[in-house]
Amino acid sequence: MKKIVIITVISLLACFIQGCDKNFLDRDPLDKLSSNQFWQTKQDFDMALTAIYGNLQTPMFSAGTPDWDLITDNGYGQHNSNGSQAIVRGDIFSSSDGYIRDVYKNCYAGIARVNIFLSKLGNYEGSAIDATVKKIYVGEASFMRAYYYYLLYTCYGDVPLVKEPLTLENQIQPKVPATEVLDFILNEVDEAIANLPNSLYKDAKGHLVKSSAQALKLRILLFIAYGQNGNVDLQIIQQAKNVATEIMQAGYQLSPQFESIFRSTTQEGNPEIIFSVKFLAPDNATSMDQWYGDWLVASPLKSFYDAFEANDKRRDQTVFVGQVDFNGTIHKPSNNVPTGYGLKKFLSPDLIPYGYSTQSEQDWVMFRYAEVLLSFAEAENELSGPTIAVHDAINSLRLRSGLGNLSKTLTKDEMRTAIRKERRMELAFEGFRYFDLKRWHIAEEVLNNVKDGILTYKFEDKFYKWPLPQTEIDRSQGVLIQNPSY
Amino acid sequence: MKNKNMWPLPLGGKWQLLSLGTAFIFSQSTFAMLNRKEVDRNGYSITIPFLDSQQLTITGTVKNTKNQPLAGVTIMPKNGTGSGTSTDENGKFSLRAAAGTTLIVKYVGYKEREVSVSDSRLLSIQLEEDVTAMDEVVVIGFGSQKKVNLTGAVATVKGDDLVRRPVTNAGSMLQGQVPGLRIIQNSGEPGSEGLTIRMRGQGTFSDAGNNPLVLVDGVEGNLSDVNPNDIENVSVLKDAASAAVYGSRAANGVILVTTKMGKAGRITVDYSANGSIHTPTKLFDLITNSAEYMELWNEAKVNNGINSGLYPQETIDLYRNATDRVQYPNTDWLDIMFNPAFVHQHNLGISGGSENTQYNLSLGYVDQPGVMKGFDYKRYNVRLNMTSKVADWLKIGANISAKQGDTKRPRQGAQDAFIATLSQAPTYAPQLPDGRYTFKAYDFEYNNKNLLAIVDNDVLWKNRDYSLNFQGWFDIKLTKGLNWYSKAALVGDFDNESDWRPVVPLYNYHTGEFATDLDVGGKGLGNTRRENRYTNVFSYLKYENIFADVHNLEVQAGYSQESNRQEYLYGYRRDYFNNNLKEIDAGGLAVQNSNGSAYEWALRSFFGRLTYNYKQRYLFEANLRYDGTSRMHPDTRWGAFPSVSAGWRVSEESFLKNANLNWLNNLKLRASYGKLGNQNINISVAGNNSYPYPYQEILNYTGNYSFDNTNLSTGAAQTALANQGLIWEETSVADIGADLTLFKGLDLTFDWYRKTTSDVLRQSQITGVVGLEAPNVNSGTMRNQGIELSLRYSNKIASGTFEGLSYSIGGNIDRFKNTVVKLGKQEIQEYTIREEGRPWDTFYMLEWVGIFQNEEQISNAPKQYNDDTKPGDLIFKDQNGDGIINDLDRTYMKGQFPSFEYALTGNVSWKNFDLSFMFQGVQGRNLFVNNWGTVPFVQGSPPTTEWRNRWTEENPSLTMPRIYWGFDAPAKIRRPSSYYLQNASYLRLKNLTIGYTIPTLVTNRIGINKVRVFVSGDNIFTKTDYPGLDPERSGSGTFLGYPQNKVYAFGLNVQF
Repeated sequence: MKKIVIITVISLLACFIQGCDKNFLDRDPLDKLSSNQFWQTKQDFDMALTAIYGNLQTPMFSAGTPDWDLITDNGYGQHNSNGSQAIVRGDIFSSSDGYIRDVYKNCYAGIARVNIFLSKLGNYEGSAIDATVKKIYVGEASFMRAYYYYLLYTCYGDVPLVKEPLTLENQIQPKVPATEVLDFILNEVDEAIANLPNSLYKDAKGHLVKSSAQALKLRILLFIAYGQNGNVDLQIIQQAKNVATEIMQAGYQLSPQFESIFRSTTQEGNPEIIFSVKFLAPDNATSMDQWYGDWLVASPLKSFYDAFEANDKRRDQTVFVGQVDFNGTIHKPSNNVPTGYGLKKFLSPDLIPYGYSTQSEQDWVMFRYAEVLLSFAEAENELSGPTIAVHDAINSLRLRSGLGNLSKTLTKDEMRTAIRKERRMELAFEGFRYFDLKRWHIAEEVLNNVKDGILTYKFEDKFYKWPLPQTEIDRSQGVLIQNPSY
Repeated sequence: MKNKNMWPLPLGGKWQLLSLGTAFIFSQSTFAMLNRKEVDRNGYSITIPFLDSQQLTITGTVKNTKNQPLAGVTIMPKNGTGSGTSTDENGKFSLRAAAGTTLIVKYVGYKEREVSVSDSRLLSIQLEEDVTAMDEVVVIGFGSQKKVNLTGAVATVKGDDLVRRPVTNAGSMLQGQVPGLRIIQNSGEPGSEGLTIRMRGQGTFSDAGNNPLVLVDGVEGNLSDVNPNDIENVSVLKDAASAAVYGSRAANGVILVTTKMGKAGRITVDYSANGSIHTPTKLFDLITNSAEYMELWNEAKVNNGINSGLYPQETIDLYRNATDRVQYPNTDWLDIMFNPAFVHQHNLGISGGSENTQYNLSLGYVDQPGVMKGFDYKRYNVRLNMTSKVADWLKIGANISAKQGDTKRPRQGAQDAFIATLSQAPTYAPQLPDGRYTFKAYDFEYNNKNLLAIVDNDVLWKNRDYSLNFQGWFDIKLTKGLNWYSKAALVGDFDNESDWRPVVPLYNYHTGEFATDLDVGGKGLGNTRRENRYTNVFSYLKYENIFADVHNLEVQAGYSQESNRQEYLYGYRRDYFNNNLKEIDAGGLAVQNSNGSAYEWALRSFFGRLTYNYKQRYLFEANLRYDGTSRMHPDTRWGAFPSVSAGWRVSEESFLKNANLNWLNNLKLRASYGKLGNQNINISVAGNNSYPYPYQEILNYTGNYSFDNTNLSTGAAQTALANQGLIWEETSVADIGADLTLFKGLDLTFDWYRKTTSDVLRQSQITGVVGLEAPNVNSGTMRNQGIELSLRYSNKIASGTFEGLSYSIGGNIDRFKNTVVKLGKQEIQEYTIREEGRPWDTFYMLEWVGIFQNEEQISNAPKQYNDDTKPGDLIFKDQNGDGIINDLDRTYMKGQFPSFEYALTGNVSWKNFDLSFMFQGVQGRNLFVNNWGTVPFVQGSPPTTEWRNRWTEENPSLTMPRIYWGFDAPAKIRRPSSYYLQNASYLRLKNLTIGYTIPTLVTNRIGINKVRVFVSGDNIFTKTDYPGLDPERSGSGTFLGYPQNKVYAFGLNVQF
């Protein structure tokens, strides 16, 4: 009896341990792919490309962009989003968090996704992807790289230039001079222009088109057209004007209604939009309406509100006073309204009341025709003074806003002032202001004179270039050098 | 398992007054004395006519010290004449013997007694458990060992010592019991006490974790799933030598919980119950007068430079002079949300058995509502332990247990609930007189969600969890000295969560107008089913023999495999049409969602142990464990973890024995060294941070995007860098210790250790330009070096007024130093720094040195950042002397790890009374606490009354700064500085219990063996400088946490 039992048990155990379970320790993920199983089909590459577009949904690049105006004379951020309060106060250190840290981090995360994609595409030897498809892939990917590096360039200046996927071994990269970064950006954006299809964005089913890349190029050129002291480089501004002219010939138009650019119901097919980051409720939604309509994440300053001309329709389309009011459909913010004003521009009337269950799906408009017109006017005025073309461009925007034409007697300098003001009002809280103040080199003059800020503003010359994040310096074993004065 | 049935501890006696430590101090004679008294009192003593050399029929009963009858006790005449007998299952016996004969009464695990039958025919004999230091047996990994022969650092706690405290979590009960085992109960939240258990410091900074391995009857389990009343004893394996047989998972120490088993003899039925009142140990003292609140609000806002959203003077006056306190209330929100809670627990145990089969069945019930509204916990435990000797060569057994826990809490958790409660102004009540829930009194006020509305509308996270644990084992005696033991276990944990979010309108308190919907974080219903299946099979051979009477040898070799699979499934619908129908199918189809996945890991291990001692004088042990893990690449997945230890029982040496030192009863010196492994690392993928595939290059479905604004396209991307070269994290522990017994009553145990963890499994410090999440790497070294001392003295007063009073007093203390030996680049967090040569997460912040009193002082002081410094602001120290204060002036501060921890326990029993107490303390610990409760008006929260002493021109305080307002307070007051670093040292009377056992004379008449009633208090007294709330919390951060409980309990133990 004893022996029988023992033998039976031993053989059962032996079977259990050995024979039945040889791969006992080999466990693989059950809901995710292993990298070497991927990059085989066109569908794989399409999914990877989707994730590249998806990365633009990072709030900093899309629905949270209005926060960029919280570090300008346009608004105040009571929640200190992206560390805005410290930046406004001039407490900018290499150890700062918020934008100082996250622009770097988020841009390189976007770049890594593109680098992996381009590297796998380059190594792909199958037949699933033909030359036409590949060309468009390259164009879309190049646009993304140009966009992220442009942000890095404008914020930090010299940064590491990473064009290939990195590994643990080569992860430490030195920064390269800003001019080299810029060359790469322009190269990439030209690559995008050359590869992307020549159609209007509204016809491209949400993908980038040639004019989207041209609009990015225009923005880049305009940024670099002003030197250290805000002096114009005529050669660059000429290039900017040329790109602007090309886009203006592509077939875009101003949307008859200003607000229709920002409402999800009127964005699809909108003739003004040149590229937007798309959202779709309920599974791919944002909280934009709650952030800006209920929480008051962004509070326009009174001086900003007062800067609108008396009849400017954009004032009440951009800003609400006390509570959100769409022709009697009212939302009373549950949060405090510290300046008395709120940001109305991007809100959806049909989602009132805004709360935790509000799922916003308005696309984030990254490039639109109004910017092109303003940039054209700016370039043309710098090159040739207030020509008719300048007046036409600006007046078309003013017309839409219920304002009269600019006086025909404006001098070049007066026109410059008018264009800059028009730009501030038209593009308010679309993330332009901080970079405009920087490229015109008037940040000290403007920001240090804000009188009605809840915070005390302080802008120093060194802030034109932010410090590189301290952790990056720490981890680079001496390879990465901090920007001057930090 | 040789001692499974010989375990020399009393069964079932949760009322047992004396700890293990005291028990064996009781001498035989004192018990005899007690017996005599009891015999007298009970009238058992019957005078028998003395008839020399006449045969008498002697009858009697044999019981243990708890009056439980003992079956199978051998009774023999001493002179060897006449035949012996043994007791029946009621402990009764009868035999014939000559008058004047001395009987020898023998029973395994009890001290032998001699009883003279000259004067008594109906005998009542009490046997005392034989728990001498020599024979005390300690549960160790895969077996047990005599305590005197231990060479590793092992501490034990008896179950009866744990259940003294009227709390509900077995883990909390271990607090203060073992030096080196530090337990912090983060809060008194019912069913979610948030225990941090650390053995000998923080061993690693890996995400692989610092939690000791908890084994319940040899199988991984969870302390909070165990019914504390089921615990027979707990062994804590502290050093590498004792933990090495669990090598792969033992790097942070091992806690072995052994549950109770029945004993041969009569059926014993135990019932115990207690009811208690819970109140928070401490709460904030807030300004709840609306007028005062408003004035301070205005002052703080103006100090911020904000001149909007102030309370008009008329409003302040309205509140100040109001007679209608419904319209103009002074609401104390803490008083509304915190109330005393009545908690009760019941336990029923039935145990017993025959010579061959023993059983223990227990049922437990806990009903624990929270002191904070919305919190509730109920726990049900069932356990059946069986063991049977089915043949001479075969023993089998099973341990089966089940637990159900029903937890309810506000959906965003305890801290959020407290924050929401604190962030309310006294100017309005939670409800309008007609019952509608309120938002605010005035639009410009700030607040968080109305928690009463949350609770009343059932916006609660509800979880029903089941934990099932099945274990079956056999022990075969193959041949003399050679046994084969195997166990298989299946553990299942099942969670059944629901998250209900209805739409609840809130109204303005004064106007009654609709204001906003209650913040319930979205809306709809989400249900989650989660299950975790864990299987463990282990099997070992064990050979023991004694050669030439002096060489004691034990050899053991075994195999173990574990596998784990976790699954979840989540379903959600957004739109509900009736707030009473809270199931998925009652929701609308427009918006619905599902998620689900599964993850697996597995471990395979071989282990062996060799134990040798010479005359129980020179002790030696070696262990080896060889482990493979699914978490690592096949090329690197196996790791070997050896250990050795040795002991020298100096007191067994003849030169000491011959010296006849009466005061030295036992002296053992021991030393050990060994290595342990840790592989418990996961990667974080798409928000799931417990993905157990840390070395694999994984593509994630992420970055979905809707190109055409109609359909959502699925994206895929690699989000983390992979590292296939991962190897085991290794912890080596050196331990030197001594065990000493002096004066037959003073026990002392001392240990010194150095524990070094290297190849720490952690996220690599990669640069941001990689653009992916960091891979796991082996990098870094951490060391903990410390000492532990425990002392216990027990005695019994033999004569005088307090004759029979026995007492014991014990204490323990431990301290350690944590050092990051190798890290790479320093890492600075908000208020801590990680840097080589310093303790992990050393506090690092500005040093606060005073309050500016006037402009002149400010202009003479270094400029502080870009601040607009004013009188009343904090002064920071210019550490580097460069004349400006900035981030470079942050400095190191002490107190992340306490200097030492200690506990003091005592037990006294006299006649029918018993008393026990436990003090527990932490010294030299600091906590950085900020936001709600420290900065006034954060989300509108009222200031504490301390702010009445704030700096103003009229009251130039040297300790309290100028008041600023909420999140908008300027950086100069909010910056991390030692102003927010609080001393969290404390000394606390953890427990005081007084019990009374009703005389058996009374209880026996109604058929009850024993009845004890007791009163007990927990956390009743605390000495601390920590402001506001309870200093016992797991770490720094937002000031608020669910409060600890002060408990007053009344209870009862009955044994039938």
